[in-house]
Amino acid sequence: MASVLRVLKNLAVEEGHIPELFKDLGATILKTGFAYQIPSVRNKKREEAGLPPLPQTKIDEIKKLADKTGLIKIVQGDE
Amino acid sequence: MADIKYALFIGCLIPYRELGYEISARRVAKQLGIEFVRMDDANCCGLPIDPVNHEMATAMAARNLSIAEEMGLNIITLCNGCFATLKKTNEKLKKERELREKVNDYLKDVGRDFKGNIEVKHFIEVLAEDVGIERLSELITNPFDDLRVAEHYGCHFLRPHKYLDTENPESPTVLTKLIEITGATVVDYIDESECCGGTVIGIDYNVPLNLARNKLKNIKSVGADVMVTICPQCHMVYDLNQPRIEKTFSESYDLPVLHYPQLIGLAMGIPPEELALNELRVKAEKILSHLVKKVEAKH
Repeated sequence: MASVLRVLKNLAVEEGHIPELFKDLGATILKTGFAYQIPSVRNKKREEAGLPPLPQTKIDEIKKLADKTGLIKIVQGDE
Repeated sequence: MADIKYALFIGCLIPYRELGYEISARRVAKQLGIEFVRMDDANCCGLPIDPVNHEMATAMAARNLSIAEEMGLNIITLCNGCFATLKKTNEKLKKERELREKVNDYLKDVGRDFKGNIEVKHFIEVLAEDVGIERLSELITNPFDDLRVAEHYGCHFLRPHKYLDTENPESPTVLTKLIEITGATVVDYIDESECCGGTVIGIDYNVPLNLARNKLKNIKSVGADVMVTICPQCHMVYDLNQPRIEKTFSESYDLPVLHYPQLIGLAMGIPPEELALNELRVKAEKILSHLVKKVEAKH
C-alpha cells in the first residue's frame, strides 16, 4: 500500500502538484546534501558536546544525480 | 569488551533537532566498545524526497551505501527512517538486477558503484545481536526496580517487513527485551503500534498532533512513568511537541520520553549528565530520583 501511495505522489509531482514544503526540502538537498540546513548554533553545540563534525557532502555529486533523476527540474521548475 | 566497528550514518534529523540521542548513543557505544566511524561524504538517506522523486531517493541511498562499501564497513543508524531507507535500498539493489544496473548507471557519473557487500543495522540490533542481551544484562549495575516503561518501536524499524526482516511487525520483542534487562517493567497499552505521524508533520500538523495525543493518553492510562523511543522523528513528536499537545487540548501529561540509550546508560551507571538528559523537553526527574535513591541506599 505504501508503495502504491508513493507512486501516486510521484505521479502527482510530475503533473506539477507539489507542496511547497517538498520544493524547499529539495532545494536544501541540492544546496547541502541534507534535508535540513544545520544552524551554526547547532554545530557550535556539537563542538561543545565533544561530537565530531558532520559529514560534508560533495555537492557536485548530488547535483549530478539530481539532474539525471529529474529532481533539479522539479525543484527549479521549467524556468 | 566487544570489538565492534561500524560506519555511523547520522542522517539529518539528529544533528538538526535531537543531539541528545547522538550524545547518549555515542556514550553507551563507548562503554560497550562499539566504534563509530564517520562517513565523511555522506548525504541525506533519501527518505524525505521519496514522495517527490523515488529515483533520486534511491540514488541518494545507493550513494551512501557505496561510501560505506568503500570504507569496508557495515552501516549503523540511530534513526528508523534512515535505517528503513538504507536497508530496503540495499536489499533491493542486491536482489533486483535491473534496478541495480539503472542505479549504477547514475552512480557511474559520480565515480561510484554499488557492489552489495555490506549490511545495514539499527543501533538496537547491534546492541541485541553484536553485543548480546546476556552480555548487556551483565553490565547493568544500577537496575531500575520500580519503573514502568511504555515502549514505542516506530514504523520504520519494522516496516516494510519484506525488506527489513527485523521482527514480526505485529509483535516485536527486541526493544522489549532491551528495556527489561534494565530492571524496568514494560507496560502494554492500547494501539502500541500506531504511527507517530511525524512523516506528515509538514503537510498537516493536526495529524501527528492527534495521533500523539491519543498515544500519550493511552500510555498515561496504564500508569507508565516514562516512554522510550528508538527514532529521532518519533521522539520529536512525543517529547518536543508534548507541551504543544498539552496546550492545544488543555491537558497535562508530563510524560518524559527517553531515547533508549539514555535508559540503558543510566542502568549501566553512566552519569545522567553524560547522557544528555538535560536535552529532553519533558524533564525526567522521576527516573533520576529512582537512581538517587538507589545510590543513597548503597551508601
